[in-house]
Amino acid sequence: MITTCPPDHDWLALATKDLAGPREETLLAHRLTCARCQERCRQLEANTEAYLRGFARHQSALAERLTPRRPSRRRWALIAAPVTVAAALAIVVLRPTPLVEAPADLRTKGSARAPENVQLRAWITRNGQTQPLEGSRRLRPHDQLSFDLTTAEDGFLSIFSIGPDSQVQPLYPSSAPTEAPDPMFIPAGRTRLPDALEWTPNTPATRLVIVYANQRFSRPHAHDKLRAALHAGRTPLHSVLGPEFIVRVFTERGARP
Amino acid sequence: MDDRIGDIEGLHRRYGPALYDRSLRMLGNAADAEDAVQETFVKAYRAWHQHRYGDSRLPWLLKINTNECLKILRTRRRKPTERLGQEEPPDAKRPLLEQQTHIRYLLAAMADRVDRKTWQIVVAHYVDGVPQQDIADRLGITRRTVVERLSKLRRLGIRGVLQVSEGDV
Repeated sequence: MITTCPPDHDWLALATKDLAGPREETLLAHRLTCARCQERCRQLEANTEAYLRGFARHQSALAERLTPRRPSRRRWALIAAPVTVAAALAIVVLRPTPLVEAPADLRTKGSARAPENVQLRAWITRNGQTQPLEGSRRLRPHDQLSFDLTTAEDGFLSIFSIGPDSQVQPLYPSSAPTEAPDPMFIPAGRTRLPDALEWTPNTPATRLVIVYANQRFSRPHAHDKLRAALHAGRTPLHSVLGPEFIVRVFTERGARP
Repeated sequence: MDDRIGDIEGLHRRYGPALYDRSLRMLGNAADAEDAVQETFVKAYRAWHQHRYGDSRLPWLLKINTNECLKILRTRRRKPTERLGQEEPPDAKRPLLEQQTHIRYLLAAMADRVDRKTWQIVVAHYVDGVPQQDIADRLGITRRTVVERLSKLRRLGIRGVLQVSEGDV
């Protein structure tokens, strides 16, 4: 028999069956005589039941987080159609460390720093041939732009487009943030984003904003912040998503709508 | 990799409810507690090879969960949301709930003011009720360090909350 209440950790261990033998018996004996511990156990039981009621939802959300998502080609193609390729790219990161490797034809706007552990490359596919995007190259209808990202650690990515009317639209991994509120999981190493953006003859000039962070962020939240920044007359150059974010914007020289 | 996902889902089934209970006591609302549990298992998945706590995964998961709750509390302090203010006021007629509420205030008050190691000590001491020597063993530090860190907190100016909590722990 123990006279003082056991540490709360023991009740958790008892509930998860990590406690056995004499210690378990001692705890149970104490509970019989202690109103406070009886209340604590009732609380633990109630919280357990509450969690288990939504367990299928929790388990499914967890499985989704653990499995990198690859959006379907069909959806990507649909959202790609109205987009003119790269006028601007932005990298948003949580930690202020240096250097994004940008294609030669992309110049930097703004003085914010980008992370050294992220390398972004843009590729252009024309007539079946894929080459790095270079400075003198002008984009033509049906050119396809694709990206790859090399990171030292796991991260998350989302892409938005900003049209000539300054409207911000979510693009990737889905054009419907309510269906996919989470950004795409990017494992450490080199990741080629699935599929490509195709430049069609009728599309207006559009800037692309690539948001990357080493922690999961909310796409709707990032969307709102970008939109607010534009409405406030600020381009998404710095501090768009809060003080912990650093943004870098690249502008593509050769692109002409 | 698939095996690891299966293992994590198995751990989630076994430890998820207990971690939810603990997160709820630290954070005070169900949505944040669910987020903390999910982040705990995502981090556990990524740090799978770092598990060095013997047979039981519980201490390891508790340590991760402690850090995730800290992140949520810090985010909440930077960006006050509608979730704040939804907590029920302390209920003086129910000592356990009153004590838990005070501990929650304590955690929220110090989230931005302590380093991670101190945070681990605080949660182990005030939330889990673990004896100081056990905290020291678990974190690989001396008991003197544990005592010093807890004493330092009292000098941070959050004495009022601490005194209420310590009276019950």
